[in-house]
Amino acid sequence: MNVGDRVRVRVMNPPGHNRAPSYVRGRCGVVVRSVGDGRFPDEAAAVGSDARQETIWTVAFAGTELWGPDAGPRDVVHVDLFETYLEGA
Amino acid sequence: MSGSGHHRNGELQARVNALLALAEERGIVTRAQIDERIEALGSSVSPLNGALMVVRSWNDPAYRDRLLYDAGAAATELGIAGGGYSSDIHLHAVANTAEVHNVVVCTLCSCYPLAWLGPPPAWYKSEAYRSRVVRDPRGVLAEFGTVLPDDVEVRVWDASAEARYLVVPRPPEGVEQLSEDEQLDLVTRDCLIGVAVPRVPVH
Repeated sequence: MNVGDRVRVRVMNPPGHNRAPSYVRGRCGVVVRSVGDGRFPDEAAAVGSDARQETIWTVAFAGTELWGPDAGPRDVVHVDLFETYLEGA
Repeated sequence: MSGSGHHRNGELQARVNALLALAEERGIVTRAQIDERIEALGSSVSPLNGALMVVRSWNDPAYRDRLLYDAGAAATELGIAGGGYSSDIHLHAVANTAEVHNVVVCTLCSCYPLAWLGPPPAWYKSEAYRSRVVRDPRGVLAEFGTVLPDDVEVRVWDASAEARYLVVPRPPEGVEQLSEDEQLDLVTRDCLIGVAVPRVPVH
């Protein structure tokens, strides 16, 4: 995965902790930046600091991709997402 | 709204007390450690930290470049380190321009660049702000008195992981006539979140 890639947030509803906001699940955006590594929160919620490190990507979503034609045409929402949450689109 | 907010605060307080009692009982943390942490936080974190970085960037283009490239390093350069409680946090500065306006939120909880902005305002943690600013940022900004031209792109930053965002507002017209101390007064907490823009007072 790299900056410029078009990605989709996986559709998921895990029973435990998860930090992919529901409003971006299943939506497509473009990777604009690498934030660096962070402890994978789904795992960290269960095992703490032993959780694996994973790359976090900032993904830019057009407002219209998230909210349809009611969104402002020049609104962009950036969300930081762990790589596991993303797939190629 | 204030009535239900009060009720919810009461519930939250009861939950915090129960957790704290358990954590103490199991030897995970002591009340003294918690008080120490709160005190350390209160004495070092303030929106003045963020304002110092912004004003330096207005007056020093090379600093501005460094701030936008690596805000954490640019903060350390001014002696404003994040502190031990935020070692996993990556600070990222996003700059407003004539074409782009930035605004920060955490839709999942209340992630906030505490070390550089001080304690967050209550509205930042409210469900109303968190749910609406991603859907209708222009409408929410207008309610704060920040009305943007239609051709300006609005970039919302939802801090859902380890990054924390600091908005670098544009220097307002007439700012060069002010001293650095006067400039600092213009860069309010709300400007650093992105719901306001600095204005030079008219005399």
